[in-house]
Order: sequence, then structure tokens, then C-alpha cells
Amino acid sequence: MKTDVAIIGAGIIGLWSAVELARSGRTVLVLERETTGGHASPATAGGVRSLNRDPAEIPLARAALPLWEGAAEQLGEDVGFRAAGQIRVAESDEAMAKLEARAALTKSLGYNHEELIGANTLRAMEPELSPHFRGAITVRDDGYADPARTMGALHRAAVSAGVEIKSGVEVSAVVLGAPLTLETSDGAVEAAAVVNAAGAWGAEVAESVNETVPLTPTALQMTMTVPVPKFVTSVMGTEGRKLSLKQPPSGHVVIGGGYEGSIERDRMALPNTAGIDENFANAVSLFPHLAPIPIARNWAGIEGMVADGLPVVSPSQTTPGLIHAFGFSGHGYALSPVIGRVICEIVNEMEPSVPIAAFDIERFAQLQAERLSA
Amino acid sequence: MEELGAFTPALGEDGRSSHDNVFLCTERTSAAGERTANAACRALGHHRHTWTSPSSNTVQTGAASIPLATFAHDDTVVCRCEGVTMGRIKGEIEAGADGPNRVKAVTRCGMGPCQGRICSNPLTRIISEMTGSHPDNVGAFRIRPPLTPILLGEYATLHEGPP
Repeated sequence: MKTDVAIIGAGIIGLWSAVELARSGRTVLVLERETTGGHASPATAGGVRSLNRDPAEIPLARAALPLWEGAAEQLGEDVGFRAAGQIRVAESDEAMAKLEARAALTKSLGYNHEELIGANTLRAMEPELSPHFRGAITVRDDGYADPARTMGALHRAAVSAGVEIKSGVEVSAVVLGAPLTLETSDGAVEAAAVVNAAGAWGAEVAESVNETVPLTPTALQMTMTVPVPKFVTSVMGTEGRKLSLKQPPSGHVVIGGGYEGSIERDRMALPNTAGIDENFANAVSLFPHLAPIPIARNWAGIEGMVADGLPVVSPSQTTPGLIHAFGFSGHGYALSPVIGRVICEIVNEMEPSVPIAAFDIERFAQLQAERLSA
Repeated sequence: MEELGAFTPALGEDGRSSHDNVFLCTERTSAAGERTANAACRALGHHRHTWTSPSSNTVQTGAASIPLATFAHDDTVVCRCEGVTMGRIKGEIEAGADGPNRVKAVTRCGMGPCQGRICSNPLTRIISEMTGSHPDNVGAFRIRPPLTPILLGEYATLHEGPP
């Protein structure tokens, strides 16, 4: 089988890339070992956040926002995006000082999207918030979207753009050449370009072409309560504590914060209820009225966490034609529309429209050399 | 329930199960509405919302199955926690959702407070009937905690010990 571009993985990165590439005129085949959106993509809490991002990711996160605004139009269906704002609150003077330092840092880098606010402004924005918070840092045009709807919309948009998505097909080898050849459980595939969008398993694909990335597959867990009357608008986080809390229009309260579940055999992610009490204590400290609200469900999805917390978005150094886009370390959902665009630009031999040098696989060259000499 | 192919528990007349300390009432035994459920719970000396039972206490009675399509329509609510209709589910299956966990991910069917206790078996049957695949092969929802709704505040203080 032959195609212009073969994409490994039908997660959110693979599908945004597929849609962009197909619309640029390429034939695209997506090879997915399981099914569309089987792991981190639908399991994320769905935050779309440029607030408090690593400076290297700020240009991507800012460039993603207008693409989220336009996603419904681009994909032909609403994906639940709301530019509801993101707020990171401080409950002590020490925490407030950290937020002030953060605001000074981003300002010194030439950005003005992060806004430091005092207690009164915070209270005006979120009147139901517990009154003990000193202030916060906020990005008013950040927000959130609905991951399940996004995955469904992307799948349908890709198919109607002419993308072929093959589920249950595992890639076993990427063979050098022009074109590249993929050995798969469904036979050989020849492709001029291959995109490694294998998420938590992207480092395995990289390893198969002798590139080492320090990635740990990690089950990140979320919790959702039953629906309750609206009490919060923005996505809330806390400086110095692990928490993200939001209430989409459905009324459910979605609580996350990077708490780890466990990975069982067959790539099954399970929430770990033992450690998550701290997560809920953090939520209740913001909104004490949540204490008597029933939790409806916990879940977890497997994400690729890279040692330095940044993704790999980079042409392969060993295998011309192979482009890596994995290891998003919990930030992939928010960045996905712009990553899709960048991957399309790289495949089409255009200059990426946002800087991606910080995500080059080159940064692990030392590790790679050590691995090879061991 | 039995004629619809549902699971029903085998119970003594006072609601006693095969486990000495486990009694079952309300929707673990039949579907008769909230008032009946509350009355049954009061009879057993419990408030309805404090009452849980492990699903392993249910047994299959071996009733014949009537095709769902003969009594369920597109506007029939399959998942009442999240308000997901038969029509919505059929649409997703036609669009390629090939198992209960796929349907759940795209429709929220089974994601509400009852955690799929009401809709899990019907959903398996809908998929089975539409795809021709045996229910055993269609499978069911993955089990996720909490098995019954627990309050956020109870959980938040789980490791603080008794007051």
C-alpha cells in the first residue's frame, strides 16, 4: 500500500495532523493499534491553557487559541470550546510572591497575556471562591474544550477530508528508504513521510530507529462529580498545590491536577484512589460547598511524560522523512491544533509558523550517545 | 424485568441474599420507581441513598431475550443519568463506535452517578443486535471507581482518620 503520509497513532495529535495534511492535498493514512482516541486524548480534563506554560511552549499555546476559537468552523461541529479564562490562585503571601515572579518573567520575555490580579478582582471574577485567597494570575482568553467531542469531530473531519484511518493495525518497524516503508500487522505501507504521533508509546517508535527519548508512560487521572448548579466560570488552579477544576455548561465539576493512576497490563489505565484525597481536599479548599457533592466517576488515561516536561516535535535525526510529534507531557490537548499545523508545514517543507527548536530531539543527543556506547 | 432479559437477584422474602449480611432492595431487585424504592428501604431499616450492594450478588435467571427494537425507539432514554437516547447511541454505532467503551467515550452513556448499572446491559444488547456480534464478544463497560457515588468531602478527608 502507498500513501503520501502515514501517521502512527489516531490520538488528537495524529488526527489534527491528518486533517491539516489532507486539506493541503496529501493522501494520508492513519495507522492506529487500538481505536481512535483510546488513551490520553479523550481522558484529558480538556484545559486549553497558555497560563503558566513553560516559556518554550508559550508561542505554541498562544497560537493554539485562535485555532480553538475556529475549531467548530474548521471541523464542522462544536467541540465545546469556551474562552472562559484560566485562573491560578495564591492562598499565601509566599504563593503570591511566586505568581508575581512568574508575571515578571513572562513580561520580561515580551508577553502580556498573563495578568496579575488582587483579591478584589479575583472575587469579582469568581464570587463563589473561598474568601481566603490573596490574589491570582489569570489569562482571560484561555479556556477549555470537550475532549470526547473533539475526538469525534476530528475523526469525522479527517474521514471527510479523505483520510483513511485503519484501526487495529500495529506498526512494527520503520524501514529506511525513499519512500519509507512501514511494516505493519496489515502488510507493508510505503510513505514519503511518516509522522510518529504515538503518544505515550512514541519513544518506542523513536527507539526502533535508534533515537532515545527519556519518556515515562504515565496514567493521569481525573474525577467528575454529578452535575450541580453553576458556581465557577474559569478553569481554576492553585499555586503550590496540584489542582485543576472546571465546570463545563453540563454542570459536572471536572477535577484533575496531575495525580497518577496505575497502568495495568494491555495498556489499561486505572485511577489510583489511594492518593487522590489530597486532590479533592485541594478542590474543597477553593469551594467548600463542594464537600457534600457526590463524585460520579474517576478515570485515567496514559500520557507520555518526557523527563524535561516538553514534547518532541522534530524531524528524526536518523530516518529522513520521519517526523516525531509525541511526549506532550500533559499539554498535548491544548496545543494539538497548532501542532497539527506545524506537522503539516514540516511535511510540506515549509518553515514552521511557530518556533519549535526547543522541542528538537537533538536535545537528548547526549543520552543517545551514552545509550549507544553502553 | 425477566422477560426483557435482565439480571435479577435470587432473594429471600425479606430481601435476604445468599450472603448473611447482605440484603437487597430497590433497583437492585426491580424497577418500580422512587416511592416504591424508598418504602422498600424503610422496610429494611435503611435510607435509600446509603444502601449499596455488590453486583456479584446478582444472578442470571435465564429469561428469553426480546429484541430491544421491539419496545425501544430512537427517543427512548438508555442512560438516564446523562440523558443519552437510543437514537444517539445507534448513530454512534453506525459511525463506527464498535464497543461499549467507545460509545461511552463519545456519548457519556454510563458516565453518570449510577456508573452504567442501568444502561450497561442494554447497551451491550444494542451493539450486539446492530453488529450481529455475540454479547460476550461485545463486552461491557470497564469498571471504574467509585462503585457508588461518594461525597467529595468524605473522600477529601479519607486519610485524616476519625474526628
